[in-house]
Amino acid sequence: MSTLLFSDPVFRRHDTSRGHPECPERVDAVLDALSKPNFGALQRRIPSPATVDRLASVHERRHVEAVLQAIPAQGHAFLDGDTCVSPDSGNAALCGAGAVCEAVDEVAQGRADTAFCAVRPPGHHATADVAMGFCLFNNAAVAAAHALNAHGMNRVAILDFDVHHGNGTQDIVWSRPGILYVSSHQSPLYPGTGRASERGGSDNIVNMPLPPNSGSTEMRDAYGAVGLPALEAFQPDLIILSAGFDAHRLDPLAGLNWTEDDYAWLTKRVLDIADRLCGGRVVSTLEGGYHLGALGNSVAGHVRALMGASNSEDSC
Amino acid sequence: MFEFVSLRVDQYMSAPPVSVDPHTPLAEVEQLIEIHGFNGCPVVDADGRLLGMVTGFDLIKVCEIGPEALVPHYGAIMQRPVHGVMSPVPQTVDPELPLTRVLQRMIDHRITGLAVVDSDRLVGMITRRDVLRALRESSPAESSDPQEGSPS
Ligand SMILES: [Zn+2]
Repeated sequence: MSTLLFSDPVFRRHDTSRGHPECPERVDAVLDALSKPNFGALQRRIPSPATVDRLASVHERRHVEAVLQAIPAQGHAFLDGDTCVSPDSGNAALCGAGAVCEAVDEVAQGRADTAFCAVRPPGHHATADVAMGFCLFNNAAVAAAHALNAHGMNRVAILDFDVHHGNGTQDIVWSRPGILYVSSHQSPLYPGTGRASERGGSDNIVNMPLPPNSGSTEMRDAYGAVGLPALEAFQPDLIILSAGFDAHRLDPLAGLNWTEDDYAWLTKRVLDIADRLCGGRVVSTLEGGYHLGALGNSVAGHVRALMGASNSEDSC
Repeated sequence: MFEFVSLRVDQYMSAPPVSVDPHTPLAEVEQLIEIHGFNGCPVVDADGRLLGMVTGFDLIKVCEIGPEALVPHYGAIMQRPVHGVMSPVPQTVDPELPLTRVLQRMIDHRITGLAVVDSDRLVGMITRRDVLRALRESSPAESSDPQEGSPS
């Protein structure tokens, strides 16, 4: 079983201004965790940037152009109160979307089983025409559209376990029956969307709001009863994970209490389904996660599960 | 303002905390609370393990007029050891917990302060005042910036 790791120095150069929680050190924490000897089998790749055409498959073209034009030649610019860009941000965002698309190519063509993309900025708050919540382009949605358009797939599932609701992904997926969007997230919390009653144009959206202060039990119950059965029923050809690690008990931006084991548990359940339904094809892309230690440890458990639970020494 | 989210309890807690042992008379506890302006005082054993908290509320409550006396015998009551009066501590926090989470707990449970515990040992106290100081110190630029909130 082979697993790819996409990373690029440009993800570090996306400078979000001093003290910003979505900081370059997040990538360091992830790559440090994945540099341990038990990740030696990871095949490391450097992505190419996505083209504007490719982004325009889910974003409005003038929005893509406006975002790229808003990138300052020096210093910082704020696209909203939270979302900061600097000279390398456009390149980082294009390479992030490019990484997830390339991961889809590799997995779709059988050259790898699974992939993890250690990208910044994250993507799931980016709607078809708004960059917000630290996100410029919706990496997961761009990659899902790419899988449908370029690889002749009929059904792609995006499962989003970031603590925030992926309002951008929901916006893009709403009227695309070929994509299923399953999300667990704290509610109430930013950005305020993601009620269970929001179900998409063809029942292709499954929201699992979780109450503040809830933890492993509530999370495993929700996935066991709702999220995983929905994923299975959709019979996807490929599963894309919007992998945010900010539901961790130490994360400063939210109030859920997940542990490293919960991420490994969920990833293994998803891999089980992928093995049964779609040849084990899973592509994961980094979203949030703002406690550096918790992020590193959680990504380690997640990627170990992507590399094949059967080879792993731990079982949860 | 962004800096606040990266701050942790151990950067803003008072440490080492003022604490008393379980045999301390209430009179002494009352004095400590008076001098330090505390809302409460942690009670620890000889090894520094947190046994409970005693608050102004506990001191008032022990003076409640009950069936055994017509008036509260304040002088005698204040000679009692604190261990019979202190309250159990329903929740403590880790030194590495983000202050954003402490802030949320203070709101959720309407509490003024939390004991900071590291492997059973009391290592500090974190209060509303500490959290407000962290908020203030982590956003000096914004508070003095008249342009705040205007679109860029
Ligand atoms: Zn998030």
